[in-house]
Amino acid sequence: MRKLSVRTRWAVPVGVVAVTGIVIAAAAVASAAAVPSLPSRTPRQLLTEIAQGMATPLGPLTATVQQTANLGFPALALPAQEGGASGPSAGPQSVTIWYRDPRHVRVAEQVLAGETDLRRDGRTLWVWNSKTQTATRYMLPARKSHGGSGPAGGSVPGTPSAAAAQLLTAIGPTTVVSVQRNVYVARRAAYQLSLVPRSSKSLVGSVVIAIDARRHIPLRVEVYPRGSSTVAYSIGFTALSFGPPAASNFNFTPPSGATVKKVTVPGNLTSILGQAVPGAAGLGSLVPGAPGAGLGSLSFGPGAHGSVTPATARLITGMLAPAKLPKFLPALPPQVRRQIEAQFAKSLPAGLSKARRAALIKAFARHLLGRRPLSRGVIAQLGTNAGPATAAPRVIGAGWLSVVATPPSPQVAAAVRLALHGSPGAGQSSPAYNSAPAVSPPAGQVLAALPALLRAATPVHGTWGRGWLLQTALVNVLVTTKGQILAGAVTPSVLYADVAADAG
Amino acid sequence: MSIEQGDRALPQAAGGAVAVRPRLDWPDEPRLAQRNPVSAWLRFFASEIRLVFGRPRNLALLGVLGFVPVFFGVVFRLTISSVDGGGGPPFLNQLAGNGVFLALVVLTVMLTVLLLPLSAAVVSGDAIAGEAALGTLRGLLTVPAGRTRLLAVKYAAIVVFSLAACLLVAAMSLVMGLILFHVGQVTLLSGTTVSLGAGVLRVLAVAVFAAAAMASLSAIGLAASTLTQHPVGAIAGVLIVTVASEICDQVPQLSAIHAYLPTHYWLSWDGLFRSPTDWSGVEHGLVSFAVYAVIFGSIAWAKLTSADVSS
Amino acid sequence: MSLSAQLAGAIHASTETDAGFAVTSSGLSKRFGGGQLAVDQIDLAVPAGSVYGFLGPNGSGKTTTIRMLLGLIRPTAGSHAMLGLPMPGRQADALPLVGSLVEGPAFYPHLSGRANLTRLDAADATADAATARRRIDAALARVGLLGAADKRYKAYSLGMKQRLGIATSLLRPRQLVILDEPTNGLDPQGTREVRALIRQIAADGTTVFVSSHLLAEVEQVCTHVGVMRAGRLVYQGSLAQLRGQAGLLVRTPKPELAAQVLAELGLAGIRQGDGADQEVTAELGAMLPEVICERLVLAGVPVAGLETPRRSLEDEFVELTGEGFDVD
Repeated sequence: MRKLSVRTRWAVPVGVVAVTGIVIAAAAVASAAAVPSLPSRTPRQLLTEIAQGMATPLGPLTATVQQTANLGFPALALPAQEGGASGPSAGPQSVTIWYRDPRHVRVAEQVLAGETDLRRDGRTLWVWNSKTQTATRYMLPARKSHGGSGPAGGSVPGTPSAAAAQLLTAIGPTTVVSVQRNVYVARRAAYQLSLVPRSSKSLVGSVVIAIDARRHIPLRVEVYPRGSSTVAYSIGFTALSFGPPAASNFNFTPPSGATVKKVTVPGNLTSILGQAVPGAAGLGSLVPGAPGAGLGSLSFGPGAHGSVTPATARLITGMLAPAKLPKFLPALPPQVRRQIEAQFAKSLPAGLSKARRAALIKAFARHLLGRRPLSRGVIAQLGTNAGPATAAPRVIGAGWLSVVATPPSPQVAAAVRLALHGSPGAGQSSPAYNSAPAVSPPAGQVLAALPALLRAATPVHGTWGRGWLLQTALVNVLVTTKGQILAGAVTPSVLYADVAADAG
Repeated sequence: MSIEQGDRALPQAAGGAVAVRPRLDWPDEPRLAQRNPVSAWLRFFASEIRLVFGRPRNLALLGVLGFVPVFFGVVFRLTISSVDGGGGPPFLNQLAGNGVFLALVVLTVMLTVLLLPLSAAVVSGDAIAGEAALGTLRGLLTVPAGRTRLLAVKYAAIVVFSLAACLLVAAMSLVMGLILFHVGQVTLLSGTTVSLGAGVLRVLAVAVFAAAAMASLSAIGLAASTLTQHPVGAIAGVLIVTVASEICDQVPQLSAIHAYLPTHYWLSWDGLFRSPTDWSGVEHGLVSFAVYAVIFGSIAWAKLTSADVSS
Repeated sequence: MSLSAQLAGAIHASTETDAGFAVTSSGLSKRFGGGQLAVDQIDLAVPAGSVYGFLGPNGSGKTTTIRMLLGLIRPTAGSHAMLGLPMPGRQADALPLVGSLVEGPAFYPHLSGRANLTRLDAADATADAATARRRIDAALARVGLLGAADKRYKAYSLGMKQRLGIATSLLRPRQLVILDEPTNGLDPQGTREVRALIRQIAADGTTVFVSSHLLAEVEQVCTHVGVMRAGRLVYQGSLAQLRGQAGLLVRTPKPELAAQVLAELGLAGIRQGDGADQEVTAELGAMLPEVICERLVLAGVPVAGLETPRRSLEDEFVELTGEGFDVD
């Protein structure tokens, strides 16, 4: 039995390793290098086909959508995962979608040994969270078809169609459009349309959209930073099959032992829920975990970390505006109302006296019950610029050079000083920096991330003033000493110009 | 020393004064009484099984593995009210509702805190190195047991031990879950339910999957075992590989190699508890385990069949 | 013709071509990783049916040679055959016919003597499971361990352990039994028992290859010896032949005639003394002194005296091994 030489014997494991490596490498190369042969298309033909494809109802499908962000600053670039198991992560995030029609949808975010499910079956919408073993049923208004509120044509909103539609609006004199090498995405042959900004002031190098050759729908959108061949952001199907999913995906019976909440959603609440629940209006946002789980934390209490989630802050903010008091609030189950009150208590400024705090909470409770709206004076006392209109970020510029800017905010300015010097500065009444304050959600989100942001940022100054600049591959963020925050996929010079123009 | 050369050659003296009586007519001449190879394999395998399961240390190991579910069951029963959905191992939040999940909690904990890997490492790392250290390896090889045959029988016994260990943990957990907690329809991660029987079946499938993971790790242990005469060294080697792999699996910067790490798929059975059942994790895991088993099995084979046995 | 009969025939045929040698080797060498030459081109020839004493000081390469013979370690150079079967190619055919004890007994301490033997028998693909119990008990009985068969190995005395080791070579009928230092660590009584066992085994016609660093322990049972020194085989032959190294001394007034007769008898190394002392010396070889004496007298040689001066075996070995035994 020892007829083989030592060398021959060792060739066996070496061969096994080599074969394994070759198979892995060959699979990777094959998937990267596979070029489907398709009839050639001009950019114009492709754009037309996309328009047609997106106008045609998609029909039933089962798909997995994956989003990857590699912006160099994940904590900022990605919305924090609220109530999710995985926590903030730069890794790929994916959701699985079972779609029959806009009224029969299931979206599942699957993490290791956990799952958040959203099932819509006609008027009934169930949100299931395996971590908390909680099922929440939303009865949607009967009158309006929510499918209509999604993007046009019954396409699956929030899928690459939505992203592509946005980007296609930028096409024009600002963009060089070309057709790239064909690819396979989710095992489907696809054309690739490349959009390259003409302006050198854009940080975007190119946006590449893969378009299904048969159904003319976007299968994947990839964003490359200028001067880089590494994808900074991509969203696309990793699996896609057409055909009606099993009906068992849509109907849901809460398991015994689970906590069951029931909420009836009146028709005028869709504007709030539309942001808060993915799928309440179609599928809502694709970004897994963020808004949907936010609503979950509203209903089931704060996430594991106990902080006020931005979505909750957003809802409270909405409630604080007397004109906007949602009529359904008094109808909420007492537990849910108590949760909201607890969130409200957490969002109060730290420096309040005990009596004042109790009075405010009481006023808020009455407000919630719809008995007596909070006066503007009380709202002002909360130390927030809580009115959504005042803090809403706006878009400066157009096309590739669009910049999102918040108005100058003393609170942000104080927070910046606190983060940099450890003191909020003289003359400031103590606003809430520590617990995430009840400012408008985008600012609240940024405020929470401010210390990390400032650590990575470099001080800058110019004729426009002074501030701190955070540079990433795809996004630049400028925080000014006046508390203004500007972000965009543009060079810093554009941000400076925008600050100056905004002030002037 | 003048006789040194002259007396080297013997042949002419052989037929001389000494009566040579070659005996080639044994009634039990092995080739005449050749055994059925299958039954010979089974006999050797049964002997190896008796050895593995009869070794006091291995029995103590199984005793500890069997006790852990009892321990965890009692601890969780006493602390279940303070368990919240946020922390703790996966499925812990469902334990209060259904004792079947104790098996999943315990299997997950025992895989991640190295209890099951340790038992796999001990048995596999000892397989060849232990025989070499005792000196019994030379006895087996001169029998002759056959080096390839010895290795195959050793690995088969290790696989059986891994399976026994994982099934023991699962069975003890199910029993403790039955005693200490409510038991009923099993709620899947997707929120749908299956019958108790189907749930138990899935738990047993998880145990078999974990055993496959341990069998794959044991192949690494077997290879390490052929590379040293010190069983402790081989065992430590396996544990170092396990820990290093688990650490690498947590480092986001190494995400490109995560899928190729030996421990990456150890917990990828959660798809069994989704609806519809998602087999992709299990399939990827089994392929990964098989590839590792073949690679390290062939290393063990190359080393053992070409090694000088000097112990 | 059945396959097994063909195989048996093949064994016969190949054995005959090797003129009845249980073990042969040619240029067998082993150089270890460190560059140390442990065994240097040895040409073994162990006659079938012999009791072959493989002698040499500790560290002279005996155990390494035995490990190579049994296929445990790979020779650096050279080739060897066991029972006429080339090794390691026909290892699987040869080794079941060879019982062996290498470098002391080694067993599982937590198992009984019987369980240990059962384990080894189970590892043998060609052993008959149906007769295992009987064969194992027979082997235990032969080494006198039947009474202690169910005691754990770790409770055995050194002598019992050694005897259990020998028992493994007796699990089934063998054509060759290789025992490496079977008397190592035994008291004189134990040594005697092992010698008796070797005689018994040999009496069945089994070739016994027994190594020792003590000549006295095996001298009484050996028919042949091979002597190792620093990795080389410095002597190999029958014990009688070694004894034949004794000389012949004839005192006679007619030395020329005596030398002539001795030459006719085929004796080697004939030498006449220097005139005056009238002596003729020669090597005795295999010739018996009384036969030589008769021939001399018949040839008319007046034999004044005839001696066979004999050096002790001990002296021979000390000369062969240079420094004597027990030198590392």
